[in-house]
Amino acid sequence: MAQCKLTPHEYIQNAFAPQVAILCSEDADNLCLKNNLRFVELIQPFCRLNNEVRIADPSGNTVPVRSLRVVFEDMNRRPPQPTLGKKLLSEVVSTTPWDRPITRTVGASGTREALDLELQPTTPWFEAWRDTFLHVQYPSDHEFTKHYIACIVVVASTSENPMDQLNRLSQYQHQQLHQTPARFPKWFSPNILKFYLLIHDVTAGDLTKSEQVFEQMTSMYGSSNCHMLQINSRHIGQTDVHLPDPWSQFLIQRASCDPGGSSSEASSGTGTPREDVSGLPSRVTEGDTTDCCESIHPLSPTVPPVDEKNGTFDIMPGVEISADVPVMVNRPSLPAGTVQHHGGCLTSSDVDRIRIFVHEFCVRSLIPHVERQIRYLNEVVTNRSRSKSLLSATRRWLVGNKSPGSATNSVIYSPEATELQTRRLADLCFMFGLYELAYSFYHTAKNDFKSDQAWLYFAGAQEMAALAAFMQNSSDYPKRYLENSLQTYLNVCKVYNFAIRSTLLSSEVLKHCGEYGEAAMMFIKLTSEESDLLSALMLEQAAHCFINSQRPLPRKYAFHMTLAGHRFSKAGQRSHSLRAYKQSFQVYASRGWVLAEDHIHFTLGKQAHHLKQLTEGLEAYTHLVDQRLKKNASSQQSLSQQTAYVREFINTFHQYIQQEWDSSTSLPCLPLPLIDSQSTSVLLGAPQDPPTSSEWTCASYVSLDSDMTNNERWYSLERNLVETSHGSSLVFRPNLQLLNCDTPNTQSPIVPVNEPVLVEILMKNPLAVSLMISDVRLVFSFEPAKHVEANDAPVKDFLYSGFNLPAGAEEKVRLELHPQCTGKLLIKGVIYKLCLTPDITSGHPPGSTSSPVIIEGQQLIEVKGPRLNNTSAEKCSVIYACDKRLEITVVPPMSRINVTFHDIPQILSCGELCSIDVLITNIGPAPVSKLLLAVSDPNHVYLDIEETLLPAKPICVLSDLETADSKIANWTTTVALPNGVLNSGDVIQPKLWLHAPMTPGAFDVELLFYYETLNSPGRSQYRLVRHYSSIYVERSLSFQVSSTISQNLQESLGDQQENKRICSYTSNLIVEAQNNSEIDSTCSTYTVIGLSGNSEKWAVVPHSRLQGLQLKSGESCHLCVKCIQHLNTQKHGLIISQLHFGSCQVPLNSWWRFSLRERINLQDLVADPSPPNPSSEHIPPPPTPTQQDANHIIDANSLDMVVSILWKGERGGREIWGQHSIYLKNLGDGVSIPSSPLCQAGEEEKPPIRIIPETSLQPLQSPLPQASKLKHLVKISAQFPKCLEHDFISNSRLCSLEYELCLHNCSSCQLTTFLNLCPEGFSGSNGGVSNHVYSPQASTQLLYVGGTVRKVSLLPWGCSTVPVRVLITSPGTYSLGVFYLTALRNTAVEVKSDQPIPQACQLHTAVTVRQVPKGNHLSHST
Amino acid sequence: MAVAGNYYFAIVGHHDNPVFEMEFTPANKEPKKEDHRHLNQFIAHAALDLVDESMWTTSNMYLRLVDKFNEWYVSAFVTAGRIRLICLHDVKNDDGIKSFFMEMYETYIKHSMNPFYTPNSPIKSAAFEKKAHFYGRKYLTG
Repeated sequence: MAQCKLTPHEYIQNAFAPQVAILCSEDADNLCLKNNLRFVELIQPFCRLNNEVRIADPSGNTVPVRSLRVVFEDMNRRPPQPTLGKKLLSEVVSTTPWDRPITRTVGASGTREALDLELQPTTPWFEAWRDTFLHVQYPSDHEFTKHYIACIVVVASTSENPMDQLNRLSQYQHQQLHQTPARFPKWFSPNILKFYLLIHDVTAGDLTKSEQVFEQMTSMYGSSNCHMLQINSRHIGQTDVHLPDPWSQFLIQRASCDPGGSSSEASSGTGTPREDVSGLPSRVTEGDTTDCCESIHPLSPTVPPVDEKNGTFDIMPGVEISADVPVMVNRPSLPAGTVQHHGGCLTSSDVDRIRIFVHEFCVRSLIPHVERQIRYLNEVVTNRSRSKSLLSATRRWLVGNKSPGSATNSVIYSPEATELQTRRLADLCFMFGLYELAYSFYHTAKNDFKSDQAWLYFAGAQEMAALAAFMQNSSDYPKRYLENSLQTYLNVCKVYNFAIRSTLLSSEVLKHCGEYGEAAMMFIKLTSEESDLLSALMLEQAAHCFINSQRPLPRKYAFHMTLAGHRFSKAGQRSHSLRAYKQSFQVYASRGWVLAEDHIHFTLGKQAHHLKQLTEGLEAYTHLVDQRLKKNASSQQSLSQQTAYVREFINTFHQYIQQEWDSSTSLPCLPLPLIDSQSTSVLLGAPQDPPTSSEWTCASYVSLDSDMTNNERWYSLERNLVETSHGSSLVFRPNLQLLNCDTPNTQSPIVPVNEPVLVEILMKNPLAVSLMISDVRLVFSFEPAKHVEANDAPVKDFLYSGFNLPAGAEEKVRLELHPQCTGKLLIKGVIYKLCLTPDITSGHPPGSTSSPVIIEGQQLIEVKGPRLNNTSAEKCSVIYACDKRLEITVVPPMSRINVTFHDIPQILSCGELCSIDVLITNIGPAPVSKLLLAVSDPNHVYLDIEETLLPAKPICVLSDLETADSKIANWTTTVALPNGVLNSGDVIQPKLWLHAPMTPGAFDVELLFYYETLNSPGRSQYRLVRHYSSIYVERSLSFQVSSTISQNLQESLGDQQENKRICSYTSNLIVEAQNNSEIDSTCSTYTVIGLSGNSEKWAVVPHSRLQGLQLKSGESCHLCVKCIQHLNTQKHGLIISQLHFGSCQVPLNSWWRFSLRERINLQDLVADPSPPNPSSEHIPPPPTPTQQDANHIIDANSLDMVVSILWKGERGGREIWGQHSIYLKNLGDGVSIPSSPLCQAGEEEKPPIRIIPETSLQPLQSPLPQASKLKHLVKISAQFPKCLEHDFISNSRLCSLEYELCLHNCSSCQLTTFLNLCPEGFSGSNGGVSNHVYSPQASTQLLYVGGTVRKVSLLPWGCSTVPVRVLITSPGTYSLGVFYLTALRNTAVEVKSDQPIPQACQLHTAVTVRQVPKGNHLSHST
Repeated sequence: MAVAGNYYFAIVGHHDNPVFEMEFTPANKEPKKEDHRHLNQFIAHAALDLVDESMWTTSNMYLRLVDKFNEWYVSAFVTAGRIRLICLHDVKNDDGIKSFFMEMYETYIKHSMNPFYTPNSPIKSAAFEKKAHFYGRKYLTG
């Protein structure tokens, strides 16, 4: 517990100080009243003797008595009535000031961490309370310490006849002393000390007269019993402020002692006890867990016990004083309050005289008197006890040893009974410090009382015996005596006042011995339902005991402080309640006991509010509603509780604003609703103009609703634009329009003057109570740039009118600012009005007009960047990057582009082509100098101002300029501006071309316009306009295109002037088209109207005339066209060939550009640019001949053609056009689009994911392509007559046919071919064996003559003629072409590693030989 | 075996912070008034001081009754990791509480082995609550 000012010894000594009655005449009191003091009060500060006095015990030994204190009381004073006493006690507690708490560290122990607690070092209110408590006690008959031991009669020398007065007063006193039945005041014994005092007023009285009176007094009453006191040496007017005022501390109780005084109600802090709302128990029992504590019966410190038989308090006399007695009964009421100065007429010598008087009284009269009394009583007791001991022993033997509690107490002693005399003697000894003697007498008395079963007497004696033993030797004392007596007081006698006194005393003793736990238990035992103040004080003391014990128990301390605070609040002691709750909260703070915390905060808030400590109250309520501070758990309170909290908070806040808030400072912060600072977004230069007509839609720009997930793509596009515009040397940092927690915000964002800044703030309601928020504004500061004159309102701000935030909801609040001049704009927070949403259902009755209280406050927004984790310092500590999204730089005006689109389609079919009109307007004040566009999908999207027509030839060779589309390597294009500048207000109107992708689904069109302001000051700043639209693409047609190599040779197409004609093989393109559109598609019928191809050396030509084919849903058709090689003189030019089925012409003239764009092959947009290859610097080794050959062979096999199939359809009465483009790389490839639709439909089983990649051992591959690709290196053609006649009969039996075989090299390799004209194993080459009976095929019974096996060398693309001769024996039709041709590359010949590869070169030829009719004989052969 | 009565169970972490709280009332009785819920917390918290004292007097984890406040008895259990399980009860039910503590100890250990659970942070797991509820019904309220 808090330390007391007094040691336990001093306290006990004070509690049992000898009492001296003062009987004062009216005149004497009047003299003293010049000093604003009555006589009793006048001497009160000096009632303790500073020096040591000696007192003799009965055996004559003198014992020193240190600092003897004598209590002077007005003889007519009565202890106050119970209600008044209660009020007095309450008053004392509430008015006693207390010290500031000091911080103490309670060390860690057990599972507990060390705590720093602010503890109350002293509890002066408790000390004042217990002093007052003792003071207001009625004296009891079973003890004599409260009985007057002496009486001082005081008269003034100024009165008419002091001697007469003295006489009358002493007679009155005598009458009081001997009245029967005994009434108040109680006297120690019939033989008390009487002392006579004459007061002489130095200024008003005549000293000689006074001295005469005094002489009379001494002669009458004896010189040792008389004293003359001179006071008032100073006139009333003279005031000496230097004198200290020793009286004031004794006078606190005076005002409230006055029964009529109304001052108590006015004093702050004392209100009427309140009803119990908090739900903490009033009754507290605890202790060792085994015994079930009995609940304590009603008790109250000032209610006299009901037990009349005790004879203790049965006499409650009204004060009956006859009118002639010159005693002031109804004194003139002294002015309440202690503002006046006391002792104004007293000089320091007067004070000394008073001191001398007290000392004289004690030393010269009181102590000798006490010594006499002790001797006398000692004699009485010893004499009587001898005669009585036998009797009592007999009785004890007869009755047996009974324990208290078993019998009711009905013993009444006569005042002169021996037992009481013993007790009297013991009390006297105790009061004057003869503790050893006192103990023995108490002990005797105790035993006597016990044998008489006078339990109250017994308990009193036992208690005093223990105390006497303690005073004598503080370490060794009978502890059980105290416990027993307390038990007896409580349970047997039910005298709670004595129980309380006993507790107060014994707890001091226990604490002195260090038994704090016991002391705490003792205090707790006294708590009860009835007396809140007492319980509060006791609980508080118990709490202090817990924290001060050897092993501090801070959690117990906190709990009991809470209970004490609760009881204080019930007792109306608001400030104490507040203090107790505050101190207990330190232990609970931020541990997560939310319900307990809420209770504490709510009480704190209420108490502080009542005490008008609005700041503290507000703080407590803020804790209640502020969910940010709830460390571990959110509010667990019910809705009604939360509503109450919020309502109280709002009311308190409202009052705080009205009363205490200094309006010059900014508004205080509100804890509600939660504002998530990190999710604050800032949008710069938001679009403000809606499109003029409904057909035109604005670009989507960047808005607060923009999807941030695609930012990487936009940044990537932007980087491309910047690199296109400035070269890639710049360190790229995206130009942010929308800043939020995900964007890199290390640079202060920039906004031109007069363009809006939109701030979006996320407000969250964490409670179950809905809130109304209105008039939201931004808090900002603006610092104009140097040499810029700021006008009155440099920034226009707009009010957000308000909304209702339901329980648990989130709301995005968008606030706008318009900076009007250049400078720095710093957004600090948000200011708004808050109130509870008026409840319509259970609201006020319709008549009442009470509107909810609205409070206005602000919240600051603080943003921080992402946590850094680069350097070791950053890794070891928590460092966040700076975030400047709320520090906006306002720059001079810039150009500004507005982009609108005319009618962007919502839906497209796969492969559909469409064009959209675009309007690009410069709406800013400055001209645009450069306009660039980046599209994320250049294969399918481009923007052009004019259309490029294609020559209407079936095959045309495109120029480099025209083929630029196919060579696009990045995402950006430059939009040409007229004269290079787009002035303010100017418009350009390009077209946006879209080609829907071949796969159904979403088609994301992402456009990023980039522009620069002409002559922009400072660093070159560009601005951006984003457009994003997603178009739904539905299924239309699917195509399968495959190419096959034909055996036929055909001359290449090409420039006619070229002499060198190359024959090459052809290829067939087989196209299968299927309409797989869905039934509910907007367009379900398609017509294939054309086909085109672009390739470096191939062109498509029709086999025959083709018609447009209409396909309904589910239908399919096949087409076959021929591809022939076209010699292309230009190195990289493209040949575009087109076939139109029927007369249909595509009105969209730019379709071919998309088929060229199909060749664009870009990296993934967000992929990292590939790191520079370290080996790219060194020149690759020259290709080996084999590699060269391989390349040649691959070349020969490559088709490299984009086949576009054009179609038309109809949607909503409008014709639509589209194309599907398929890229075929090699001859013989087949591609279908959409690629493998079957796989997409079903769940395909995925291969297992390998964490460790499989390393398959691949054999070292020959660079040559596989053998199947090598079969078409050489083709054969022959020139021979289809038909010839020969006269087998007449001319010769053999018909000889000579013709030439042409071997064509269809590759760029040098080849050696081996031609075998009569290959073995070929059926029918040498005499048909099998085809005799029936042969539908041409006969092969012919015979090559001459060299049948030839070796022919072929140059690249070369042609070699081999003359051959064949003999035919009979007429018929013969097939010539059964050759076996193998080819070997020359390089391979040298190495001799490879076998010659047989070539697929069947020559489908037929020669018909006829017999010449007779008479018409002609011979063709020789 | 279980005796009908009111129970309040709390797991207290190393910083005297409640990690888990649950109240058990007999099925036939209506739950206690909301206003008094905070009292449970006060009592449980205050009992920690006595838990610290009685912890050293026994080698058992189960400490039996450690404190008493008005009608509430406080039983406690200290795990090897110094996590304290506190139970307030208004009827004596030594065996039931002991079994309950043992089961909850095991449940807590299982939960704390979850790598996503930070020790000493509040347990917000439906499965844990379900288990606690089940054992409470089994051993406490019956």
